[in-house]
Amino acid sequence: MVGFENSKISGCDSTTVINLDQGNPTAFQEYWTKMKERCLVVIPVWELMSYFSDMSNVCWFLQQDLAEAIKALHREIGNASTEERYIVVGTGSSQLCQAALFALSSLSEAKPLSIVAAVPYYSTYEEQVSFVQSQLYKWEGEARTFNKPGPYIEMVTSPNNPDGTIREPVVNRGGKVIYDLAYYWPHYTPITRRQDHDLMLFTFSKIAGHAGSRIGWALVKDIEVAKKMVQYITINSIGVSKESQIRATAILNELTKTCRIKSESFFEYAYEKMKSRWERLRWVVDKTGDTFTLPNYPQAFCNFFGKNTSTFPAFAWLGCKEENDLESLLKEKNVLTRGGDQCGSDKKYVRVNMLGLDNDFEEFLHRLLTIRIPKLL
Amino acid sequence: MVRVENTKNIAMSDSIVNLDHGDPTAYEEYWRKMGDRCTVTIRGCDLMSYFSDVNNLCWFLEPELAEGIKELHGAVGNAATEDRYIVVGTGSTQLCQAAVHALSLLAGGTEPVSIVAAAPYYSTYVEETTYVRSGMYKWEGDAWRFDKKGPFIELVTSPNNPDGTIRETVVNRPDDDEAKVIHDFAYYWPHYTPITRCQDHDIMLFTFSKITGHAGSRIGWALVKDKEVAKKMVEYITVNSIGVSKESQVRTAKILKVLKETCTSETENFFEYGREMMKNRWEKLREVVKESDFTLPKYPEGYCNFFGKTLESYPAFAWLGTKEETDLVNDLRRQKVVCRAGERCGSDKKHVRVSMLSREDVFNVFLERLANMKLIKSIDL
Repeated sequence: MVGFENSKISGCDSTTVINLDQGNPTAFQEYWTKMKERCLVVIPVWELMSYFSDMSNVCWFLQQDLAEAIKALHREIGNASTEERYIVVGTGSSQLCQAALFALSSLSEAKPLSIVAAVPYYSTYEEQVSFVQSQLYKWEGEARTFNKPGPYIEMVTSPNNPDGTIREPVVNRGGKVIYDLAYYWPHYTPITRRQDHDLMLFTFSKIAGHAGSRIGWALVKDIEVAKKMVQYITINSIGVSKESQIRATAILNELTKTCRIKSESFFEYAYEKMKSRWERLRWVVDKTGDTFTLPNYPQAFCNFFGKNTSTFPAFAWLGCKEENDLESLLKEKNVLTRGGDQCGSDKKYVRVNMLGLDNDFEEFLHRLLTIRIPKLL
Repeated sequence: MVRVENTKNIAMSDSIVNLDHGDPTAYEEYWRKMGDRCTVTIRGCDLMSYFSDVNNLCWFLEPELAEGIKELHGAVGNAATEDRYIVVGTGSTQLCQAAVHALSLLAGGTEPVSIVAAAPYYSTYVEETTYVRSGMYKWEGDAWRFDKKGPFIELVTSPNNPDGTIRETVVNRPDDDEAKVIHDFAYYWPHYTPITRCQDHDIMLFTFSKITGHAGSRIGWALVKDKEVAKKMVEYITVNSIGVSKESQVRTAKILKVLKETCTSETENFFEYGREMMKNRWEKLREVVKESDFTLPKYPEGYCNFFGKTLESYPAFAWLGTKEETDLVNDLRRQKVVCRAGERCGSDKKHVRVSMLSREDVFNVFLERLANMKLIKSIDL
């Protein structure tokens, strides 16, 4: 059994701040360090100078090798259809999400479009939608109670950020849907089907941990939507870093190449790591009695691993029945998390990064164990 | 001197010559000669984190890039970096939008902030300030004609895009604290123009693309005096793209370092090379345009602090005009030369913006086609 009692408790001073608010995926650094020179990328100074990657492509700033690498990985993992779709690359799926909002609302006759997402949602969506005060679209919050007439866009993240649940659209009134599949990879969740929606976003950051590269991609069915997204990225930043694209190509190709070799497969390694962390977290949460809650996830058959697997999300949606402000409570213990209120939910919940460094994770578990909440008599 | 071949041989090829955008492939030749000097090697485990330096206001700025930027400005003497915040962006394009956003937000108030630029202006400013239809600011066009009250931002590009002229602000309301200026110094480098002084404005934008030709890297930086403005720009880039490619930053840092080193070299000085190349192109262009209906701006000489002598300007774009009443962009299109219409730059149909930074063979074909147009007109007379 995975027990906390058998492990060495980290030597962290309890005053050290453990930041689990952002989803910085440093957990995977260990894997890539072991890979040593495997994914070395060498860029001579005269390469990649032009603005243009491929003038014959709708996405003129997309490096062809990256397009091929994306298709190959999706084919191997079986998590999304790439046929008859346009690939749009972006500076992270963040930029792509905003490109998609721009594209869909530009193409709509009526404006502004209402933007909704089912609670709890990715806190950053609200920021992305409201930040530039665009007259093209407007944040309308909770999708489940949305009843405003007119065109809308529903953001569906699956597995969901922050609570890891598998999601479908809830509005279902013939509006547009942007599917954010950042975590739809076998180390987080069973690959139960090949997703084939009209607009699907993926991020390089959360596959194998290369958040600094700032690479995401969209698989887009409609050419007019793809063109508008490309227009957005053209005006926003005249394309996407070519160095990052070259790097992403090398890493994605390595992931594809090794994914069926058990001893080398990143997905095998990462699945075990996520499993181990979640088991330890659940063990600690059980140990604290009724204090904390975590969602339960059903097992399902994973087409990639060829067996039943569980969901081990990149964030833990930690709840506390007795405490009205869990974020503050954890802050007192010098653990930073994202308050549930920022995700449209309430302060009884927090979102905790499960992808941080080993030491930070262990220290977080240690501090969780020390929390005693006085029950009302 | 450009020799005008007989009419049968004028077009070396029949293909379209696209000089609409400023793709700086002219510099590829120089960098090929540099060989392995700036080769960048990145391991699988490098640069993975979102964060570059959590102690820096610009938390996604790689420290070695910050150093490289300061050192290069120090060596060239074109901009002050002391007591300023450096904000890195995905091109100066993203930074311009970050700056407009930051200043508009800080202006407060209920009315959108007016954005102006003196015609002819960088046509992309129009798109950048209108595409998301932000309620925070509003493009009001030509700064020369601007007389609206209230907060405004003037975009000053110097040397100017498209016409290469040295610019100052034109909306001068000295007692107005609602007046803000964003200085775009994309071309304020010694290969384009004499470095007459060390610029020290509140917000100065630079782009890696136009210094060395590495447009594909998507790197620009802003030198910002005011902490609150810098913070808001960082916030914009955080929401827009959670920072900037670290691979690009690390590569840029390496290239800037070598660039700075070549500044003191006799044989490899990049700015020397760039200047010679631009001079050569401009001289050929002026030769073709001589005694024709075409016009080109004249630029005054200036003492360049970097080269230590009086020099001319050789802008990255040629602001080509015509004395005739004609639609020049279409005239050129018929010759299979694509360039940017003057109207898009807030000017008229008699002007076009032509990139001077294409590969040598492309530039030469352009000269041939221009010479052909001149010849055809002279025959028509």
